[in-house]
Amino acid sequence: MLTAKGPYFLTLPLGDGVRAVRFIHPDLRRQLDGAAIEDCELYKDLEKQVIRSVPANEAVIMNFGLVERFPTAFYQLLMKFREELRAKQARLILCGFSPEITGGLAVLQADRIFEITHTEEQAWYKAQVR
Amino acid sequence: MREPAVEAVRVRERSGSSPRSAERGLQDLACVQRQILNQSPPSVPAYRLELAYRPAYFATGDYHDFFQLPEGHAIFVGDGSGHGPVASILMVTMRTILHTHRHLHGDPGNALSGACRLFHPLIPSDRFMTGVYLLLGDDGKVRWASAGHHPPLWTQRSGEMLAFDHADIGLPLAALPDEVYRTVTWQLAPGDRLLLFTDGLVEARNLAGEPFGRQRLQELCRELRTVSLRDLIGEVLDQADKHLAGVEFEDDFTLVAVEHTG
Repeated sequence: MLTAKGPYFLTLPLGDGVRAVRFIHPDLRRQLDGAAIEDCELYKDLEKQVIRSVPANEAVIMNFGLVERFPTAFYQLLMKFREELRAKQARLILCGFSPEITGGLAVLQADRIFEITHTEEQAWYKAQVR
Repeated sequence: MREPAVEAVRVRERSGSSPRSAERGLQDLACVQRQILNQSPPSVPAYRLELAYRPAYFATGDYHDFFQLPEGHAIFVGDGSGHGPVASILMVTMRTILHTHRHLHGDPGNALSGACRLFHPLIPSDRFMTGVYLLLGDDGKVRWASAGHHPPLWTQRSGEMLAFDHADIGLPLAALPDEVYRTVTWQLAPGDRLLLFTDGLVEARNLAGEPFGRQRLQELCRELRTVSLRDLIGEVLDQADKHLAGVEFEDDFTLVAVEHTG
C-alpha cells in the first residue's frame, strides 16, 4: 500500500520497520537545483513525505533503479537526508544503482558513508540486521 | 531598529536585482575567475604539460593549479560539488587554502589531509570537493593522492594502461574533517603519460543519452600515445564535440596531461 506518491518518488511500507522510497524519474537534476540542498524541490518533497513521518529505528531504503543521472547535488542530498534520519535514530540504505553510477560512487568512496546494496531485496535483509 | 547590514541588502535588492544586472554580475565573476585560474601550465624540467578547461556556466566549480616546490612541481585538479557560482565559491576557498598555507605542500597524502582539515569548517556541511594532488619528482617518480576523484590515467609508452586500486582513494574533501589520505608512488618511464580530468568530460551525454565515458577516454589516450600531448588534448576535445553532436556540455571539465620526457 502506497503511503505517499509524488511526481518523483513513491513511498511504500515493506513491513518490519522498513519503508522504501523508489525514485520514478530518470533525471532529477532540475529538482536538485538550489543554493542550499534544503532549498531544492526534491529535498523539500522528501522532507515532507518521508523525514517528518519516519519513526525512530525505522530503516528507509532508497531505490535508484530508474535513476540515470546522478549529479553531485544528489550525493549532497543523500548526505543531508542521512543526517536527518540519524537524528531520528533511523537508518538509510541505498540500492538499485546502475553500473555507471556505481562506478562513480566507488570513486567517491560512498560505501564508507552509506550502506549500499545492489537490490531492494538485499537492502531489506540488511535492514533486518540491527 | 533595523540592522544596517540588512538595510543595505534591501537597497541592493530593490535597485540591482534585474536579470540584466544579475547576468552582468555573472559575467564579471567569470572574468575574475579566468584571471585567477592558470590559463596555461608551467614549464617543468623532464616533463611536458598541457591544459584544457571549459566552464559550462559563467563560473566554474572546477579548479586546477600548479605549485613549484623544493621537492618538485605539484598539480592539483579538483571539482567542487554542484555547479555555477555556488561551486565557484568552493573553488576559490580551496585555492586560497593551497596558496596561503604553503607548508601543506609536499607529500600528496599529507597535503590533502591538511587541506581537508582547513576546508571542512569553511564551507556548508552539504558541500565538498573532489580532487587529485600530483607531485612530479625527479627521474619520473610521481606521487599522488586522491580525494573522491578519479586517479590519473597512466598510459605507458607501450600502450599498457595501469589500473588503480579503489582503496587508494579517500573521501571527498570536507566529507569528514579528519580524513587521512594515502600517497601512491608511481615510477614513470620516458614517454609515459598521465591524464588528470574532471568528470564533466566523461559524463557529457549526447542526444541518445550516451556518456562520452571513461572507457572512450582511456582508448583515446592509448591510441594517441605517440602524437604530441597537445594533439592528444585537441583530439580528445574534438572527439567529445563529435560525440555530443551539437548538444551543449552540461558540466565544467578540466584536462591536465603530463608526459615524462626523460
